[in-house]
Parts: sequence; structure tokens; C-alpha cells
Amino acid sequence: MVPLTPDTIVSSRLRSLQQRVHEGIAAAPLQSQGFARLILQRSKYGIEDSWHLSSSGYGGVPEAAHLGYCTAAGIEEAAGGFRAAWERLENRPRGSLVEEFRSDDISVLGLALGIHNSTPDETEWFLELCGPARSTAWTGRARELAYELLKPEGRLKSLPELDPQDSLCLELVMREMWPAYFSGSPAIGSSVRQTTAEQLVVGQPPLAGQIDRVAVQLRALELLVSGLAREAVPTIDKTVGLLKRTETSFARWVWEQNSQRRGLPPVRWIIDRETHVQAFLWAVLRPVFGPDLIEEEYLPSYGLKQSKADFGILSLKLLIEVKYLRAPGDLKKTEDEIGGDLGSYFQATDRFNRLVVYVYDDRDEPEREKNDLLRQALLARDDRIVDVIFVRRPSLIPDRDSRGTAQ
Amino acid sequence: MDKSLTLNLSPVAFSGQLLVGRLPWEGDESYRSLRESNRSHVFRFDARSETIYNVSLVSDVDPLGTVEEAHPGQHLYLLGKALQIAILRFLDGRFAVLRPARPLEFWGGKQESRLLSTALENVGMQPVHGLEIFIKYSLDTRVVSLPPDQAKHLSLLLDVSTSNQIDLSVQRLAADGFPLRGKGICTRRAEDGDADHGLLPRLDWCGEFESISNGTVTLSASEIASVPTEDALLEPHRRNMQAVLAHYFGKDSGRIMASVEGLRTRYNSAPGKLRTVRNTLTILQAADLVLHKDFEFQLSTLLQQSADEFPNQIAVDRPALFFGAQGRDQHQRPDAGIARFGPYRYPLHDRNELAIGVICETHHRGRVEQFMQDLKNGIPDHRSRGKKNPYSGGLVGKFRLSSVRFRYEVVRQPDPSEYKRAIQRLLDGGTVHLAFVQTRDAHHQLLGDDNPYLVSKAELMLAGVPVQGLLIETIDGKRGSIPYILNNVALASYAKLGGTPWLMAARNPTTHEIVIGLGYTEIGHRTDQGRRRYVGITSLFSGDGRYLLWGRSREVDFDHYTDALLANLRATIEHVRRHNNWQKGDQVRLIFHVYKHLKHREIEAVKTLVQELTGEAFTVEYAFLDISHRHHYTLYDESQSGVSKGKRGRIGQGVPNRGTCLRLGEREALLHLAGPYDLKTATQGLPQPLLLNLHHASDFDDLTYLARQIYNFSYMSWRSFFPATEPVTIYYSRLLARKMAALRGVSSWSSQPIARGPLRDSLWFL
Repeated sequence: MVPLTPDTIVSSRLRSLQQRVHEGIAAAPLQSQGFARLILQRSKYGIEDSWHLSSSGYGGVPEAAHLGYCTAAGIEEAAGGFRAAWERLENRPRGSLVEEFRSDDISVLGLALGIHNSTPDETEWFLELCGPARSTAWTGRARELAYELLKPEGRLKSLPELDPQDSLCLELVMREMWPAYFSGSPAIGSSVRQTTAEQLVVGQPPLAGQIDRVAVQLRALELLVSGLAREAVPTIDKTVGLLKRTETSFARWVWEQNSQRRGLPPVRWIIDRETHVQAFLWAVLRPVFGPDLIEEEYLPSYGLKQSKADFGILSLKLLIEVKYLRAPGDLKKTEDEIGGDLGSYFQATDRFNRLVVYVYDDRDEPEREKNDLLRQALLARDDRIVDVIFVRRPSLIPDRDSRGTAQ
Repeated sequence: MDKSLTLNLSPVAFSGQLLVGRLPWEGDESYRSLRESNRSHVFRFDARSETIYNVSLVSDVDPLGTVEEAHPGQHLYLLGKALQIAILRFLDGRFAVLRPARPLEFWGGKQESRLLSTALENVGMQPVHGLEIFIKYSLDTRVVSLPPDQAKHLSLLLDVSTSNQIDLSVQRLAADGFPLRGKGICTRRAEDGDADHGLLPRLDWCGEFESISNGTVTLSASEIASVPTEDALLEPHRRNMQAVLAHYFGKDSGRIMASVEGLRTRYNSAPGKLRTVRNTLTILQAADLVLHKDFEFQLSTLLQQSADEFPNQIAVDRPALFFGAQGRDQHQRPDAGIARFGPYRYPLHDRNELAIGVICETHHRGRVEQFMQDLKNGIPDHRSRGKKNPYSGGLVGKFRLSSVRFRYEVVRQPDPSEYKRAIQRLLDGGTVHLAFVQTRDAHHQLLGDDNPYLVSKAELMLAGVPVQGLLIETIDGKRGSIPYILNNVALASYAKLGGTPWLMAARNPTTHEIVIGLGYTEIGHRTDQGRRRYVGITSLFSGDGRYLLWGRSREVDFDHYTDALLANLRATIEHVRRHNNWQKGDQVRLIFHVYKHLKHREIEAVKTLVQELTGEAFTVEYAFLDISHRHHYTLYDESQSGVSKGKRGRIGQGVPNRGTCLRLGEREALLHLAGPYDLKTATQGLPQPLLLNLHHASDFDDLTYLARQIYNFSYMSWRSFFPATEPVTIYYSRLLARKMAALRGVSSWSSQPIARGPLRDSLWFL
């Protein structure tokens, strides 16, 4: 039995949508077939069989729209077919086309793509028959994109209120496909993306007979999942940022002046040596990296010496070395130790190839001006050292000699 | 797949030496004379070789003309005729034969074949001499191409049904006070040679009863003015039989007919019919069916699907139907499609704010109002065990209409003049988009100006308002069935208002296609040529990936249907040519669905007109397809256990599934459009499949494509969410003809609003 995890739930929904695409594609109207194939062209859940280049001339607007999508997919022979289909439409009574153009956004987008890519001479009448650029249907933005393709007026810069299940998905998919036309559009926030992804996973999926909705949801979910995954896994920069921000968290450090509970001494979180810092960092990093975070990593031996880095983050190939400054001379000692161990740290670069140094400054008289010198020196020594972070002890913790007596 | 189908066809094998005589063709008169003077022979004229072939039916008599030994396979049609005569000789003296051939028909001889007498005995009453419901057997021969090599085989087709006998003298009926006025009168006529084969004298329809005096029955609606009383018989159709039973047995007639229906299911249900057909075949197999001393016919068992010779099946699938705001959402089930996506391109429907007029009897108003409210809003709280509520949304929710307003006008008495006045008040009160007219079931019996519904319909349609009829008995019916009734009423209403509930996909078209259907109805008074027939014409064409209905359906008197067909064809072609912008070199396919075999000259007229319209610019191909329920093929599925109908038990045992389609040769197919789920009661019996017959003048002869198209078109009807038992081309034509023919009896009626007025493109006839 497959365990029920977010990963398996998402994969199962993606596969179920893919299944519906496969079930519905052959019976779908031609314009929807073209639309679905185009937007899934770059998807790993796409349609395996090749494009059916329908250009019999008997399929009317849907066939012409389908050929339009074929031109956008880069199928060479499609442009000629589209021009022929377009000519046939051009000479039809306008009345027979108005209903098609006004009611079907997917046909309109396919035709606009065809016009855009195969440049037939006369297109003005097309937009005239299409009526207003804005449609209230969930595919309304496809119609706006069609107008932008033929007559750019910045219609896509304003973002209407979009229903998350369908129109927002279409927006995400179209932005990915035609980024230039959406360049001035307001960004879609991460919370909206997250909500959309959640709804796509838990909501009722469309039926196979709604092929354009199915394809849009499939592609949108795929894009959202890969986007959220990118956001969810911290990079080295983000990890460094996180380590730097630990100093600000000391503002609420616990160091009671008086006992808050009878019979117990005042609670005081003392950090007095390197292992205390390591414990603190573990508490910070473990929830983020989970099993990806390992501690006390014995590094491959380098000559007779075998060094030990404090933590390693496997997926980032990043080591974290914790240093503890107690006395004024410790800065120099730290520089020497780090410099001396560099060879060991990067002995197996397939496993670790970056180092960040986390320096906890517990000196009673910090020499902040020298900290930067150490940082510069270490960064200059090896470009695999990504940063040297100095964190001053919480201000509530007394000087080192006063800790036993402080009240 | 279970191989459980059985076809009522028994392939015929031959043994012995076949001697065939050849005579030259010397004209019709000579051929007639040859047949009449040589009743010991069977003849068949072969037009290709202009030769008359014959075989002798008597052992010691030779064939006529040049005699030669022949292979039976070369003379299957001739042998088919001979087999019918051999069977007729076997039946002679054993059974009452009604027809000698094509098909050969006879009544069952046993007591159990007399359903009415048995039913009367069942309820403790005495049978009435001359009044009977018989089991009727039909035998016919067919030459069919059968697998595995598609070789032609002579086969015997066996069927069983029931037939009425009302051989009570009109004098007696009149003396007993039976109301004869307006009823059909027949006489019996014996033809030369009939007695030789024990044939019953045939019944001829003479006219409608007007009066009786001095030994003469005076007739109307006929060119025959009168017939002698002793010869006059009441026409033995079902309604007359029920009326006679009601007259003589009063209250008990219901019980008697119920008993008859119970007995009838032994012969019209699939298992009963099959059992009877098999028994008949067993008797015939044991009979000595000999042509002459050296040549015998041997009847095989009925064709079963497990046999190599069983006809190939044509696979059909439910068609894709389009729904929804933009018309791209697909579903295979119309009801679910509309509920989920809304009707096809509903935002374009131009009557979203409806004014509905309602005419009803004053003392029914409360119930009618409740019904109309339910129609508008649906019945969301309807619960039916295990079934989905079909009508929770109403016209507003399910059909996506914005608002519905009702205006009521009442009638105090259900007479046509009251209805007319109420309609006038309704029309004076402002715009009405659709009118509901409540009447009673009993009004169905009334014709023309006497019928409140027809009079109301005529008045409203003349004002351009489509009408939906409503029977008070329907409103008062079982509460549980109301949502289903409302569902279909809403659908038909939406279509009458010009809405498009759904459309059907025309997948990957390779041609411009126009499909024209002719359906007919028989109504009103008979003439000496028979009941008056009206023909309806409905056309569909492919365009923009789907099939569209050509709005202007036509209705016409049977005598003028060819002209109307040509006029309709001209208008359709001109419209579709412009609509789809046909271009030089395009392929055009014209498919005709007709209820009767088109005559050669009709086909020529069609081709000439099309040639005139299209010139050399297009390549045109034709398919002329006869579509009929009137034939004797029946198909059984012995693995079909039927459908449970709760307390009513199971129905539809042995009935093949909807969509079962058999190819009977290059040009013939059988298509079942009513399966076990389409039956409502056990007494309905085995539904008849459609027989599709492709005319030889067709140059498009892909029978598989045509059969699938007919199956698909049965899902196009907007009269009900249930698929029709005919393609919409025929079904709509029939509905149109029926409604128009009924309206002709109303004196104020004019077909102007349909020909040129606001209802010109409307589906008012649904």
C-alpha cells in the first residue's frame, strides 16, 4: 500500500488528471484538442501521440482554431493549412460566424494564434465579429490574450478577480506559455498559489469531457507544485540568511532575574560553551531540513588528522562549522583552525563542497572591528567558504565571570 | 462478450437434383397468363437475362421450357418462392391461412392460440363466436449474405404476433345497440385460387359506417356508397375490439383485457416469442417440404451467435454531445450533461426572462399552479431510493434561465369556445413566450373543432406562441413520477422556446454532409386508397464540428411529398452551401432516411435537382436508406436477465441491449434502439429492431457508418431525455406530420405561422 503523504496525494491527482486527458482528448472538439495539446506540450504529463493535423476543410471554425494551435506548437505544415481554413471562414456569411466567435474563447485564441503565426492579410473583421475582448467565462483571459496577440493594448496588465479553480489556473498556464504578454501583469502571490494548489488537489476534478479544464488544471498543478517545491527547499543563501537571523531571535532569550515558581531557582538559558551553541542551532535547523541535516560529521582523513565539522546539510552539500569566542585571542585561533582544516572539509567534494562558519561571540569585550577582518581573511582564503557569520551572545546573558553569581 | 444473440432466421439447405426450366420473356401479359395457367409451377423473372425461370411443384411434372439441372445457389429467389408454396401446402387444412406469401400468415389452430376465448374462460365467461384474438404466425423467405464467406443463403424468417377477428355481423351489432357511427367497415373477398390453399377470404376496407336500413349499410369517407348488411364487418383493429368488449361485457371488459394481456406476453415477450418461433420451426423441420421427388428443403435451427454463419455485429458507441456556456463541454448522457454544464451555449439563448401563459380549468387551478411552480424551481426535496433526483434545479436552475413569470387564465367548462376566450384574454394581457394548455385525457378522442387542446393550439400558434399540452391526469399521477415528467416537459419547453439543449459532434468530417429524413403519419378519415398519410421532412447538416438542425422542417400531404422533398432539398443545400462556404472540388454527401422505399423516379428527381444546384463544382455522393420497424426480423438475447422494476418484477428478459446492430448483408442491417432499460411495462413485449436497407442507387454504401449515424441521431431528440427509438430525422418528421395533420381538422387553422411566421424555425411540434 502506498503511504498517504502530500507527495503521493499530489502525484495521484496529477496522474488522475493525465488519465482524464487521455480518455477525453480523442472525443474532444478540435479546438479543445489543439488547446490541450499546446498547453501540455512541455508537460511531463503531456499527450504522447502526435498532433493530428486536421485540415480537411470541412471542420469549420473548430478546425481552423485547431490549426491555429498547431502553428503555435511549431508544426510547419500547419501555417498553410491555417491560411486555407481562414480563407474559407472569411467568405462565410458573417452571421454564421458571430455565434462561434462570441461564445467560444478557446476557438478565438486558436484563431488568433493562427493569424499571429501565419499572417493572413485580412484580420480586422475577425475582432469585429468577436465582440468585446472581455468575457465572463473562466476562459475569458484566453480571449483577452487573443486580442493582445492581434492588437496589443495592454489588456493583460490588469488582473481581474479570478476564480481559483479554473480561471486562475488558466492565468498561471498562459503566463508560463506567453510570458511576454503578461510582463506588466501584477504578480500572483504565493499564498494564492498555495491555495490554488490545495484546491486542485482536494477539489472535484473536471470530467474527461471537459478537456480544456482538465488540461489547464493538470498543467497548473504541475507548475504550482514545482514552483512551491522550489520555494520550500532553502538554498545555501537562504540557509546563510537563516543563520544570520538567529541573533535577532535572542531578543526573547530566557534569563529570569527572579524565580517565577516557588521552590525553583530563576530559569536561565545559559550558553557557555560550543556544544550549547550546537544544540541551539540544531533546534533551529532540524525543523527546516529534517533528516537532510546531519551532525558531527567526521570528515575524510587528511594525512594523520581527522577533522570533524559540526553539521552537514546533504542536499546543499554544505558544512556548518561552529566556533566559540571566549577571549580576545580566540579570533586568531579560529582563523588558524579553519584554515588548517580546509583540506579536510573538502576532501570529498561530491559530498560537501561549501562551508559556512558560525561564530558565537561570548567575549565580554567584543572586538567587532576585528570580526570583519577575520571574515574577509577566511573568504579570501577559499571561495568555497560562503560566509562567516558572527552572532553576539544575547544581551541578557551576563559576562562570563558573573554568570555564577548574577542575580 | 457473451455470444447469446439469436436471430429468427433459419438457413435453408437443399438436397437432391434441381431441375429448372427457362423461358424467354415475352411481356407482362404473357407472364401473367403463364402463371395463371400453370399453378403447378413457380416462376421468377430475371430482368438481367430477360429470362423466366421456373420449377415444378409436382413430382411427375417437368419444368417448362428448356430444362436443365441447376445449382440451387443460382436460383435462391426462385427457391424461396417455391419453399413458401411447399409450406403453404403443408399448412393447408391444418390452419386458417390469412396470406399465402410475402409473408405467409396463418392463425394458430390450438385452443391456446385463441387468447380472447381463453381469457373469457379464465374469468368464467363463455367465448363469443366470431370474436377472437388469435396468435398469428408469419413466415417469409429471405436471401441474405452470411459469414464467414458472405455467401448468399436462402433463409426462412419466422415471427409470431396477435391478430383480431371481429366477425360479428353489423346487423347484430346495430341491433345490440353498439355505436357504429364513424367506425370502419370491411367486407371479405375471396380471390381465385385462394380456396385451393385453404385461404381465408381477405378483408377489404370499404368506408366508415353512416347508417343501416333495408339490408344496406350506408358508408361515408369512401367512394363505395353502401354494402349489403350481411357482408359488412367491423374493422378488426384494437380500438374496435376494446369497444366491442366494453359493449358486451361492461365492467368485466377490463378484467378480460387484462387477462388477454397476460396471455399475450407468452407470445410477445422475448422468451415467449422465441419459444413459439422455435416450436413452429420444429414442426416445419419435421414436415415434408419437398419441391419434387428429387429435391427437398431442410430447415436449420435458428441462427445463433455462436455459429460461424451468424451475421457480423456493427459496434456502436454513445455519441459525444456538447453542452455548456461555450458549447465545448461533453457528456454522453443528455440529462447529466445539462444538469452539470447547462444547455448548449445557454448565454446566447435570447429568451432568458420568460413569460409563460397557462390555460387551465378553474377547479384544477391549484394543482396546475403547484405543477408550474415545480417546473420553474424544480423539486429539490424529491427522494427516490437509489436514483438521482432528475429535476432538482427547475427551468431556472437546470436550464439556466434568469426568471420565469406565469400568467393564468381559467376556463369554467372544458369546451373549445371557453378555451378560445381564455386564450384571447391571455394574449390581450401582454407578451407570452410559451403557453401551457391543461386538458383531459378523454379529449384525445375528440377531433378538430371539438378538441379543446387542438383548438387552443391552433389559436396560440396563429398568434406565434408555441404550446405545451398538459393533462390533468398527468398532474394527478404518482407523486414519484412527477420529477421525471417535469424534466421532459422542461426540456421540450426549452427547445420550443428556441433553446438548444445539446448538439452532437460531427467527428473529423471528410465531406459536407446533409441528412434528410422523411417520416409519416396516418390520421383522420380513410379513403378507398387507405388511411390519409402525411409526410414530415427534417434535415440535419454538419458544420463547425457538429450536426445542426435545418430549422424549416416541412409537412406535406403524401401525394405531394416528392415536390416538398425537392423544395426542402433545394432550400437546405442553398443554405448549407452558404453557411459552410462550399468551395470548388469539395465533397458533398447527401443521406436520405426514408420510411419507405424511394421509387426510381424519385431518386432520379433528387439527383437531377442536386446536379442542377451544384453543377460540376462538387463531387456529390448519395445514400438512400430505408428505415423501418415494419418487418418480421426479431433478435433475442438469451443471456439478458432483464431489469428489476421493484414490485412489478423484472422486465425485458431476452431483449437485446440498445445499440445491438447486425449486418445482414452488404445493404441490410438490423439496429435495436430499444433495450431492456427502455421498456416501461412487461406487456410491451419484445421491441422491434429497425431494419436499415440501403437502396441500390446509393453510391455511398458504407453501411457501418450509416448505421452508426442512425444510432447517434436517436440521441438528438429534444422531446425527452430518453433516446428515441428512431433517428431524429424520421422521428421529428413523424411528430411534425402528426401534429400538423391533427391541426388540419381545426377550421380556424392555417399553416401560415409555420410556413412564414414566427414559428417558422421553431420546434413547436415536440
